[in-house]
Amino acid sequence: MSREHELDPTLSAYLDGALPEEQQADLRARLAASPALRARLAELAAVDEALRALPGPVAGEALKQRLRARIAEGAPATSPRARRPGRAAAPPSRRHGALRWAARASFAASALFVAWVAVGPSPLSSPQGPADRVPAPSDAVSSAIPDDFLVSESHADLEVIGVLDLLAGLDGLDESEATSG
Amino acid sequence: MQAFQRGDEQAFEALFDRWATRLLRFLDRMVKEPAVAEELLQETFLRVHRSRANYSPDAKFSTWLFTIGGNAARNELRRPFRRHAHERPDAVDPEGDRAPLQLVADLPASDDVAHARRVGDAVGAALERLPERQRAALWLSAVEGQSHAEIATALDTSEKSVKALVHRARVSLARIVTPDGEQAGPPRTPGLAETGGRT
Repeated sequence: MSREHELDPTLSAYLDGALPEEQQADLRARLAASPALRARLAELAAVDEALRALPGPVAGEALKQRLRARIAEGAPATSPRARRPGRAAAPPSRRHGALRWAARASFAASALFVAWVAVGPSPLSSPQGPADRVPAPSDAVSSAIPDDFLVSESHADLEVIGVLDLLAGLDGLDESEATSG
Repeated sequence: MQAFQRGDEQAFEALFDRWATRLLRFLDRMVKEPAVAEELLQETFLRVHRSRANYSPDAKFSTWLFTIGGNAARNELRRPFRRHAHERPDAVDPEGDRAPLQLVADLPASDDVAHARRVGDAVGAALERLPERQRAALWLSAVEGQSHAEIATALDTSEKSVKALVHRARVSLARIVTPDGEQAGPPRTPGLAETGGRT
């Protein structure tokens, strides 16, 4: 490190206006005597200049309007990621409806298999087909899942939904067994 | 701010007009995602709106605003999985030799305008690679002109730490702009009077 660079912390503090008065006088004397030190100061100052010249976004009227609307609705502070553009473009229930029902269909098939193993092959030969014996996913269970829970598209979420549906299916199976018996 | 505290909503809009773009630029440099920066900006002004009773006129409004905004940005940066999505593996130590940053001296300098653009690109890229606190401290000092005491408040640290953070960040970026102590590209060295400290 050159001697000029040894004074970098002092030069940096000088640029920030954070150098005590007595040190400023000393530094000015050094600067007057050293072209290299002046050049170094200019290099550090060039960084600030370059930063100030960087392009950046502008907070325009649209942003202000959005803020007004949120203030008017008394919006609580929440995670920025939860309101990312695109996320709010469609209600979660619609966006994930296909995924939810695919998961339910998958677990309904599993429920059918479980029912077949538990009850035996006879239901297959009964007048009522297996589809009649495994009720459709309960609306009550479905509505118990908060919409915001469905924002995530993770596999784990789908598994939870499926398990809930499976349990609902088995509950319905028990009830139908009880009534038919 | 005091007018807004008395219930003048127009004063709040005036605060937004005056400070929002400056805060947005800071947030954009911190989180590196324009959409997230906009959301953080709104969060910050929502908090200002809700917390107006807590504001003390003893503090500068800008310090309070950038403290709230800086906290929001830090929270965002600490969200799970955030680091993987927005920080490159070579972004850890800009003073080390691991990050192959583009040096301005390596760029062809055809004219002043083109050179200035290249310097801007190189400095912007180098700024992104700085550690979060160095980036914040340098921006608040060099661009916002905040004092070390104000930055210390915003970053919840000491003035001594701020001095070190700003110094390290500035020296790191100086290596990009002027490697090996040589002025890169067309002369842009301001005179001594122009580079004088803020007093």
